[in-house]
Amino acid sequence: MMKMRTYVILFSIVFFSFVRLNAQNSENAVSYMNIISKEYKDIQKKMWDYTSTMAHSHSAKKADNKRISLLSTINSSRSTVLKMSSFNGDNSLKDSVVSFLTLTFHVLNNDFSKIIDMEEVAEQSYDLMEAYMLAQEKANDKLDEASKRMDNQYSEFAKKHNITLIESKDDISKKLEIASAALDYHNQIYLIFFKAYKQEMYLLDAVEKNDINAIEQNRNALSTISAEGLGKLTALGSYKGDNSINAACGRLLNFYKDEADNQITILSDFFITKNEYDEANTMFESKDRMALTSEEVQRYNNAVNKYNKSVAKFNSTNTALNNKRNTNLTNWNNLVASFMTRQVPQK
Amino acid sequence: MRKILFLFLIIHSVFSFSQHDYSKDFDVVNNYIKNYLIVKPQINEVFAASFTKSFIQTLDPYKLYFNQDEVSQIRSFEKSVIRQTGNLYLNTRQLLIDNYKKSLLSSLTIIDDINKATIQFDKNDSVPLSFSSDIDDRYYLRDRKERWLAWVKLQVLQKNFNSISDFNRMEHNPDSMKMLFETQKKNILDHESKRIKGILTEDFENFIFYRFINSYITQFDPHAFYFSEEMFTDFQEQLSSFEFSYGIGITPDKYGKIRISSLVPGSSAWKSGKLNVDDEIVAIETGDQKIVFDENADLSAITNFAENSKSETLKITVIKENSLKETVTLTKEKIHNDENSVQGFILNGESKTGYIMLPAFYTSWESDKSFGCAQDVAKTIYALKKENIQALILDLRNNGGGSIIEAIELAGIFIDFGTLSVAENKAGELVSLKDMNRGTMYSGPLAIIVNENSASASEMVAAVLQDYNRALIVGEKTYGKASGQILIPVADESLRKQGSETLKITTNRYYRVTGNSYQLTGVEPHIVFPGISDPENILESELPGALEKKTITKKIYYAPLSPFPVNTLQEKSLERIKANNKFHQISRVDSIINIFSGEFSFLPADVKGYKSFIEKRQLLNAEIEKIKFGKSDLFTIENLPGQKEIMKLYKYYFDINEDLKTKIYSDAYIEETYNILKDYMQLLTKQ
Repeated sequence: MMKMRTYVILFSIVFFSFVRLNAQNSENAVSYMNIISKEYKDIQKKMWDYTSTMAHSHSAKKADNKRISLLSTINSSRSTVLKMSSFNGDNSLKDSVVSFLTLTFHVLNNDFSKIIDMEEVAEQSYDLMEAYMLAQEKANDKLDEASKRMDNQYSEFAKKHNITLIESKDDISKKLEIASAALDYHNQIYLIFFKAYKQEMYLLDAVEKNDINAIEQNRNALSTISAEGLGKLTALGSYKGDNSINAACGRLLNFYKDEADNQITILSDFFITKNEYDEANTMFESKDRMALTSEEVQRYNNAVNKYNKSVAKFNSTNTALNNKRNTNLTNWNNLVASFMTRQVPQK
Repeated sequence: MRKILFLFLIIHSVFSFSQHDYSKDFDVVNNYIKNYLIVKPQINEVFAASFTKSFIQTLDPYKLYFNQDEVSQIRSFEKSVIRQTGNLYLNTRQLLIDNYKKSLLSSLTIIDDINKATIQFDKNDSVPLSFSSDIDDRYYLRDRKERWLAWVKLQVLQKNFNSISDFNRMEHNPDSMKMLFETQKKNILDHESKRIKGILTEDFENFIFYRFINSYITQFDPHAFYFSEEMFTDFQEQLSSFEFSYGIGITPDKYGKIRISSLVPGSSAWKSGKLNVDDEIVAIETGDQKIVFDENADLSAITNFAENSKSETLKITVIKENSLKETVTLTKEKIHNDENSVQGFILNGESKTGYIMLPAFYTSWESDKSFGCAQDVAKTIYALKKENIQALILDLRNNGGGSIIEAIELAGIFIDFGTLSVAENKAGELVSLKDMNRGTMYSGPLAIIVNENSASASEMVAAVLQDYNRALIVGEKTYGKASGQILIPVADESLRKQGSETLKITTNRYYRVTGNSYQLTGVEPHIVFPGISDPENILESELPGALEKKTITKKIYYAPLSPFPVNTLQEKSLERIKANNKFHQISRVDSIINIFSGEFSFLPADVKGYKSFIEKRQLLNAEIEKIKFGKSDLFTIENLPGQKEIMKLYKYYFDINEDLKTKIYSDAYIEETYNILKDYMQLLTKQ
């Protein structure tokens, strides 16, 4: 099974990196803020390193090394901020930064159990992958919340000490911002794809096991999920006029929907026919040849003919499905790669 | 071709020649109970009284052997039960052995006496019909010999008279009747005498101990059972292959009557549709041999008969719950079609409704199939969907449960995803049970029919489909068992080295997704139908030691659909029921049965009294017969295409199918459920 591949994006690290004094006596406050800004800068650099490697490199190991390096930077920044004293007895800015960095660390480390109630997540989820996706979603929500809180504290702090914040974007900030938007769009489409892709895996597994109950239920689920996905794709539209991955995902979902609604029933019918054949065969074999009536022989022959026909149909349907699936998946993978090349800036 | 039939789950003739210390077994089983039973065992006065009562009952099911004095002696150890000092079995062992031996020997003398004299069948006499608690002790006050006399008279009367015509025929010739009665009396008593001698010569203590321990543990847990190694080996062997060709498991009940304990899915017994669990088997017959199962029936002779018979068919006669006799011919042919174990039909009338009857939650292990019942139901639904059904009825009446996994998979057919039930273990840990398949196989209107005998897994399915607002539940309130049992091999150094005993014990509770439970209270249907109450039917809430009802607080995620318009459907249904002749008859029979069972708490054991009993029973049966034959004109019953073909070819299946159709046509519950679904679909269209 394909491994899930969404990208963690740390939006709020980007902006307020430059401050200007409006009044005197604020110098201490500015240097206090600058300590934090510096740590931001370090993290931002590593973040960009990681993001661009993830988007452009095919080497999972390479991306993972970057991630580990980013993690260690976050960790050391966190220690630095943690060691900072309060500002005139006010710890709120410092605390919000520490809590944000802690959360960021856990999210990047996939250590969701430190952030959210995993038992509750498991309770709500259908399988492990879904639990992982739900955990990630919940963790990101928490991260968003923490980042907003930190931004607020940052502005509050500036206001309190008469400092005007100026949004200044250096090169890395800009690149990260562009990358973030593209990756966010990709992530949304990717989750639509992945939900259906995973559901198809369950369906194929059921087919493998000749399990009519599982086939029928998973077929129904795949049809629903694909239809929902197609709706979401339409709502999402293109990214800056680039509709490539939306369209590729749409083609795949249409394939899944057709597979679920029309093709799999041919396979189910085959299993039913096979049962009938097995049963006729058992009856035929268990009876003394001499004692067989012509009707019984006729029935057996009918079952054999029907079975042979359905074997042929089963095979051709299966081959056609495999071919279409491969084409659509390859197309999807290629278009995702070229989307990254186009929309995520290179280093 | 697979080998033969019967399951004997209960102790009979367990041979063992070693001097075994059963008090150690008692300790070991007690420890297992402490370690595994879901609740903490409570020993108090109620427990002690209930235990001794049950134990006396198993040693002397017809209250013939003991006298009042011996009963009091056994009852006297209730105090030691409560005190819990030392090993209870060790402390009471000698008293038990002596008392029981004495009572059996006295009984042998009495049998001799009765055999020598001529019995008077015209003297007014009676035997308690069922040994309810208030009759219990008082009946032992009666002289032992008189109890024997009354009992043997009743046996003779039951043997000869099943209808009024039997009386008319026999009374014409009183002399030959007298002679016949004497011969039968002698046969019955000779057999009893043999049975008692058997108990005395076989491993006497083993016989007592397994009754002792099982009476004891069932007070903690009514679903517990301690199998000796021999009993369990039988149990397993018969489950795996032995039971197949006719497909009936049998077991003696506590009164020594032989009852059907299981029907193997797909077997000819199952397909006949005429046999149910708990039917009393009165005779089996092959071409040249017949065994009548009265109290004289020797179990080992029956096994030998069944195992050694070369005949391909077996005629089996049973007495149903409603006292009607039914004879069914079973064929020892190779089991034909696994799918047929789940019966599916199309009820074609104003609407096209699928009907599926599922008699048990069998799993692949029990039925030697690669899939269990959920898969069979799924295949049937697949076929029904191809016929474009608009609604579906799932009939779980008299379905006593089975595999919980199958129950979950079956419920999953109708529910997209989410928690379906919550299991709790001894440690109080709660685990959500979910169907492993997302999606639904059938999402149209659905009704489930249940009755008092729908238990355990059936209740789990009905409960969850009710909580999700997925199915309309109709019929009667269910049995009320929300627990699960496991089989534990009991091993201990101090026990016999060569063998291992097995303990069946309750280790789990199950809860609804709402956190509530159907333990004791059952699942309350959306729409209740009038039913025929069975005075003999014991519900979970009536079992001593049954688990109490509990609720849980746990975050459970499930997405119920919008609720059914229950009130409207109820009103419409009630109107129909009021006007429906079948339901009138059902209510009438119900009241007659109530009067009948009240009137005959004692069975007459003299010709005159027995005749009036048979007269009344015949009237009652006539009433029941009437219900059977009212055919519904709401729909025609059609077979699924796959079945049709088989029916054309094999008369055997055709006959069974026709019988089943007759049954469905005359079934007031199915008819009313069909109507309710029709109402529901009309309401949906209006919306």
